[in-house]
Amino acid sequence: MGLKEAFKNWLDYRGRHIHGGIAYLFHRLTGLIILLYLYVHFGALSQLLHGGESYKNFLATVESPPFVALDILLFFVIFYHGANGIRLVFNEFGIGTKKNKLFFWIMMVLGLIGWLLLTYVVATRFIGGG
Amino acid sequence: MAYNQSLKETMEPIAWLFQLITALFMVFFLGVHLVLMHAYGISNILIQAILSRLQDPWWKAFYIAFVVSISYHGLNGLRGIIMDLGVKKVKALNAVFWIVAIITIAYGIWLLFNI
Amino acid sequence: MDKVIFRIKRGNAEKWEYKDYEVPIEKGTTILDGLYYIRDNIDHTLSFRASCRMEVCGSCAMMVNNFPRTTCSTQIANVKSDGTKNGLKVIKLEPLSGYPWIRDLVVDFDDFFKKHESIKPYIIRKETPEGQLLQSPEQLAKYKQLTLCIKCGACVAACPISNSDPLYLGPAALAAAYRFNADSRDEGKNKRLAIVSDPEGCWRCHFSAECSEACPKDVDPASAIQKLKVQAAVFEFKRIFTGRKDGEK
Repeated sequence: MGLKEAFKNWLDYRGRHIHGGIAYLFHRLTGLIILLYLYVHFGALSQLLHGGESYKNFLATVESPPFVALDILLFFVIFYHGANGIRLVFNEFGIGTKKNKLFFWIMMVLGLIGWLLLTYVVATRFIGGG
Repeated sequence: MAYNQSLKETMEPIAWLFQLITALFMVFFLGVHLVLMHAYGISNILIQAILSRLQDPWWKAFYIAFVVSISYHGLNGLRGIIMDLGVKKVKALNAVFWIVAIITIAYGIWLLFNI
Repeated sequence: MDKVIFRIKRGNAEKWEYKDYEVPIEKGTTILDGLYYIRDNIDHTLSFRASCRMEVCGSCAMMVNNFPRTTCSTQIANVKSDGTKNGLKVIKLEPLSGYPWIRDLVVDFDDFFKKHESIKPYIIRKETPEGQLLQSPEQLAKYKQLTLCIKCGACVAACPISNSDPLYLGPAALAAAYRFNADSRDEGKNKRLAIVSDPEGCWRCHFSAECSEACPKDVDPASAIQKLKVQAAVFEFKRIFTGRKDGEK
């Protein structure tokens, strides 16, 4: 099986269950996004090395609404990966494997609550003018 | 099909175990990091706040552990995805993994000490 | 009389197409009933495997609306529509996903059986036992569900890893390995763990658990593989300290 076909099959969500193969696919995709973000983040942090004026511009950028919106999307990705991940840590040690659907949705609700809380804090801080 | 490769060639199950351990570490690290950076306005991302935090040895240790965990977890995850797609050259893939992981971790830690 | 449309993938890898067949149904008609109807009355060239008609031989598994099922035990009324044509429900039938395609709804099971054989699916004893090997009901309960596997191959077709990595041992073989490891009469646990603790063995599983969703006998291979991972991890750590490759004490 060539790499191209393998990749196409890897992404094929047809017939998969949300708490099964779809959760697995999203876990991989969110993981890749976060890994990519890690390198973006390191790059941005290297801005700090230059200090002073360039950092002031950087601060202005990260406070702008489109950037905050992107941040909130990033939080969503992180909370999905984390919530699903906690379930997987239990599962891979053999705990909770018989109640997969329930466990998955409980973690999704918890993750959603966490994400909404953080979004609320960030948005109101922003609306309030920081 | 030849199953039963030795540990030195495959990295499993130690790699598997550390993937799960770093996952749990990161629930903690990221929890702290997200709250610190976003729940206090911009007061914690001002340059003075960052510099003074990095003077504290406990915070330094926190960030070093964080960098090591997330670099290992993310890159090992990527290695897993590549293996799931049927790539057979396990030894070569593992070597690439270690090289990229060490460079990433080294860069992250260098940033911590040079801001 | 009610009717449905079976949309069947006909042909082979070189030349194939979807063909529609109108199938009359009544209460309780299974997909396999429909396939026999087509072959007997409409198109004698339709190829598919079937035998016992009672979900015990494992011959009739195929993709029904993108999900693997044993057709003898799947009632048409219980299958959702994959579109409609002329007001009739359409059911899409394709050969099992991830297996080499021979023709129409028939796939090659050689690899599946080779992988199953490779994990030593038999009781291993150090010496020939004298008399009976006794086992309590509690000991049996630990692995009984796993003995119900009919080797239909639906789990492997459902597994996202099996579909992208042909070398992966797969849920059927791994569940079989655990079935014997969990059997109190068996003494070959380490031999099997040495085999499954391989990058293409249990470590390729990430618990998508589609295998357990697909299994018609509720074997739950997903849970078995996670338990196998814990066994394999303990085994490998012990192996590091003793340094033996063959896994023997």
